[in-house]
Amino acid sequence: MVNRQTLPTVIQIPKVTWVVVLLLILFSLGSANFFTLNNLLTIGRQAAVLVIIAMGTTLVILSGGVDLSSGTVMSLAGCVAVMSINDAGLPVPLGMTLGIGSGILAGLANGLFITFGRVPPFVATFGMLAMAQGLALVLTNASSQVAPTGFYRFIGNGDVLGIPALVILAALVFLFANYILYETAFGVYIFGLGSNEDAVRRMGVNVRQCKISLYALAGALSGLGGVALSSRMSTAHPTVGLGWEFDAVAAAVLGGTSLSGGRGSLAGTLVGVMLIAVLRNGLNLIGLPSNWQHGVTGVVIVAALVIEVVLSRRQLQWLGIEE
Amino acid sequence: MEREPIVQMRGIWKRFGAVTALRNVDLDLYPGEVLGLVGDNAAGKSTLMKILSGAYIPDEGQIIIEGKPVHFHNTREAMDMGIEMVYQDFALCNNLNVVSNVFLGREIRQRLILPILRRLDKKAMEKKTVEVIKELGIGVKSVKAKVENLSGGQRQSVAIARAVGFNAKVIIMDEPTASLSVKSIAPLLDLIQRLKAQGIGLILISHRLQDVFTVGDRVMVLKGGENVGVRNLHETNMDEVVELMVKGFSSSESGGDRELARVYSAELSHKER
Repeated sequence: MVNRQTLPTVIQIPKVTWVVVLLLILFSLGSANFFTLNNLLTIGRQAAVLVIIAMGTTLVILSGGVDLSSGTVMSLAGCVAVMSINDAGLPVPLGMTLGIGSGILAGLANGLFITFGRVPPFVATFGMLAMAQGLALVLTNASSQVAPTGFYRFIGNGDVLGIPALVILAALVFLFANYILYETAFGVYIFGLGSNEDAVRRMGVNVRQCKISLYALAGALSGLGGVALSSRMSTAHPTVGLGWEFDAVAAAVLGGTSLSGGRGSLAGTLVGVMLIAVLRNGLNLIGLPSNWQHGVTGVVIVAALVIEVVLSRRQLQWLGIEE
Repeated sequence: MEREPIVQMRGIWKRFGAVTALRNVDLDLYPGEVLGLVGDNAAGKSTLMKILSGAYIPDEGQIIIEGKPVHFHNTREAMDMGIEMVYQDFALCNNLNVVSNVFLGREIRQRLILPILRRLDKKAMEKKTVEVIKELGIGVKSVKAKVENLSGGQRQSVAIARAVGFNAKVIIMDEPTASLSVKSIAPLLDLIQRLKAQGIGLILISHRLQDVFTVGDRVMVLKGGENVGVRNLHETNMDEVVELMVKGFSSSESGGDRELARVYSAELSHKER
């Protein structure tokens, strides 16, 4: 991990890890069913899809951009995959590939808007949020699509050697994203763009190509996440993904990734996702009415963010890094 | 000088809309020479160097590197020909370490089919960075340190290492002393001497004439986008150079050159019509 060697290890563990630990303890005390293998596997499944899309979101934020379209692109990809199998009669693997492909196309479009269209990432991907949502609604005529049985549903619900297939998939995505970020030149450019885009350009790097590839990668992961979600729920619904983009950005920021780019880690995002997943699951198990859950989740996320930001700043000041 | 120039720029014109930034500018640079490039603000120094480094494409004119005409479309093409630029702001990414900055855009990668997935050869890059830094005798404690933890002088060393590390023939330094503390200037000028001794041609864009006079061999003065004079530094003095920068001609004793300046401006005003 080239980029993290010189900072003391304390900085590398996101502060929210302690919040996750605290939540685990509180929920274990609050409900006998919480800290059981079965429930932990359920949390894993619930977290897995968010891990998949949040990896893409984190890479984009590290480069100084943002992707607000991940949620609705998930909806679109799930619908494309299920409909191309159910209605067009394509084989399951091909349908899934098409679903992921629709995510890649959406990501490519984001990248083109941002580079050639010179639209700020916030605006471009916000536009894509609406476009992908619209397309999903039109394609499905606003109705849910029942996912095919067999392999399609196995991804979201099956186990391999006792481990949920979805968790394995998320782990593979996590490892892949880490490889890209820390072992390839592309990863260096992602960090570089987030810090000094002009410097990267002046050193002869094709910045446009870099950004287009990056948004396409994020789109591919949103597509994969969408297919996985429709598999887990056995249904592709055209509005199911709306709001996931928010969780993905929150997970990244909770994990210590700076919204201004250049700083953060994928491992941090993993912790951020765990926080969100543990919170949702735990609130359910302790019997908080669902009408209250949204508000409480929001309060905990904001509180965790404040802790993260305040502590990080203290630490940076103490180390003399922050001016 | 009978040697062949390493860089010849001939009749360079560059316009930005209604503004003419460069008018028929010539430039010669010889191997192992330090050429000071001076002039007031908006004289065209940066524009000329951006053309040489591939960032701008000239409207007219020719660039000849080691006798071969070249047409750069981007900075990468110029870098591949051994023309490197050390930017005034160093063009570093503060969140990356020294190795990543030195190799930014030119990473050593292991073989794999898809270019985007090719793994970085971090060991080879580290080794090379350590070598270059040792060779230059510049003080950077660890090549794995992030640039944000380095001092201004060290950051500049990283920027210079990046320029030197890839078989540079020409190094352009844009205001290298502008952002340095007084005590870091002497080591820099010393480093310039050593690069010069290696046969590298250096162009020094500088406001500090004393630096140009300390390490330079020749000085070229731009004013209003025109080349108003080239002098051997041992045949001129600061007053004359300043006069050239301000007035565009010199009235001092070196008569032949005064004549040249007049010829230049006459020729140009003729061309304007």
